Amino acid sequence: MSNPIARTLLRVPGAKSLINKLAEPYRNLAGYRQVGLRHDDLIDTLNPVVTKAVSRLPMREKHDRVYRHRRAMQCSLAQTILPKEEWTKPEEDVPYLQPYIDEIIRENAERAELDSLVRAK
Amino acid sequence: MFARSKIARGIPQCCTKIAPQSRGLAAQASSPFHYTVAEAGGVKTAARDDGAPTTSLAVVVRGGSRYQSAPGAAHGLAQFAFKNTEKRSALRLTRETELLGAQFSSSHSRENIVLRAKFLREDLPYYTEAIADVLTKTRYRPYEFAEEVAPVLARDIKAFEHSPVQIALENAHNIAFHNGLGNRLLAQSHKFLHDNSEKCEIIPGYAKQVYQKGNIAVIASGAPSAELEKWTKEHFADVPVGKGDISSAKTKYFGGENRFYTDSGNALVIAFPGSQGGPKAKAEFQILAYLLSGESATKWNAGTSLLAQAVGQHIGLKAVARHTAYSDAGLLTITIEGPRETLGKGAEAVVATLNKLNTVKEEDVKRAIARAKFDVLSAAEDRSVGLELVGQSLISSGEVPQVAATVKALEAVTVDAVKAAAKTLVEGRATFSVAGDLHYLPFASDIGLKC
Repeated sequence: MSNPIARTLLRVPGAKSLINKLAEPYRNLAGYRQVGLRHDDLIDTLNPVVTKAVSRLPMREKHDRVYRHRRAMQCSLAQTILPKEEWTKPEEDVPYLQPYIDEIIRENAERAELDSLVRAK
Repeated sequence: MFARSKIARGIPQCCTKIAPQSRGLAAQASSPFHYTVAEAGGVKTAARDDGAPTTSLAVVVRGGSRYQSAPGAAHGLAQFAFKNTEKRSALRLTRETELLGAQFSSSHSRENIVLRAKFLREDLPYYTEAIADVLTKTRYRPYEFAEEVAPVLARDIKAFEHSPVQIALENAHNIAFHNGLGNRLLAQSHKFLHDNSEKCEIIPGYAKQVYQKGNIAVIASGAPSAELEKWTKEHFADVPVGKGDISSAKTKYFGGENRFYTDSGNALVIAFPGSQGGPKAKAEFQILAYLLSGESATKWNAGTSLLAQAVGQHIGLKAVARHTAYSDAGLLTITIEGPRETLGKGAEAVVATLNKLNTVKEEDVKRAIARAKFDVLSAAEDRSVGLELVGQSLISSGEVPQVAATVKALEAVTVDAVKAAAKTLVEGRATFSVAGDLHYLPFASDIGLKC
């Protein structure tokens, strides 16, 4: 979790379970699950960090991601949603891309830090 | 103005830093190549301390291409060294090494994978830890293979494919030894790089097979043995116990002929079975290689070696003989490269020279012995050249090679021994490998070679 506001909020006792209670219905209402997408499919790929993260996905994940995008696009063109059994189930909606993004952000931060390093003595 | 006392105080300080630590100069002169062998927490170590301000550290792993479980595993694993570990990232290691003014590298041969570092003497703990981390904590992420390792493998393969000499030598090894030592040194082709997910199981799998306590040796040149033992014991504790899950059948020599088309030049290799390395080595094969040589010791001439004389009349042609001793076999190779039109004639002259070895003169053998001795001693003196051989011998026999014994064996070679060795070569089955424009290049029978 990289957002500082979210981090502070989560430290409040009981906040996490409350947010989770609200989050699940919100995700269902957002509509992406009805066209078979996962939450990480919605992350904007115009960002170079995300582009790199997508390139690091295992081959299988990459193919599945393209398939989900095309299916969702088709739904959008046809002005329809998928039959209910093809909706993304909550347990399938895992953050498969976010760990890669976090890692690249860490790498970039480390690079920036090391590029201005001086020897402590 | 400087206070005189300040300068005077400064000098002894910097001198004490560089001065030899425990041993006096006289002791060093008597055994300059002496390695102290020890065992630290199940890992074999060897160290010699000449008191110089820098240290050369090598971790030798018995896991070269002859032992590899899949084509390219050794090459891939060697290039995966010093990448991201659980403790520190590859970038951090690089930047910290820059700050310490040190160098690190990794390479592989047919026998070993070698991880090396050269640094100022006081950084020994840092680099023993860094190399131990490579063995135990490398992450082997598939995308790292695709982003960092695969391009290096591709570059190595490309360089190999554009060198007819390398191709001919590789093919010569393959037909001489078939499997094991005949395995291809590098990854097979660019195809190795396509399916990353599979390769990323091969490489960490091979790492588990070879990165084991009984299968590695830690060698330092320019560090006190006690220090090396202490840090090895501390940092190499996590390396799994074992003698390495590797197998390579005892090498057998086959020989034969191989022709390979390439448009990047022309080369030709004539090879014969040589002598294995280690204590059972037959020095006459080494002397034979120096006798044929083909390389000049002085500038601006071709030299007076037998091969230089043989191909001297063909412009642009170069013939070089070399004896490579592996742990259980050896290969005496003669590499000839040059323009395709004259390569055949040059090879014919080389074979004629080999057939005339029974009339070799004593002074030529003496000259060859002198050069062989010089090369052995200067390699033993060098801080980083000899480490792989020391490690290899330490892993297999628990002893370090004795330079004095090697030199003594070289000195003891007689003209008759050289003639006898030459006779076995000429009468035995040769290995003949050609790479280049096959329309012009000769067959073995054209140049009078049996194979």
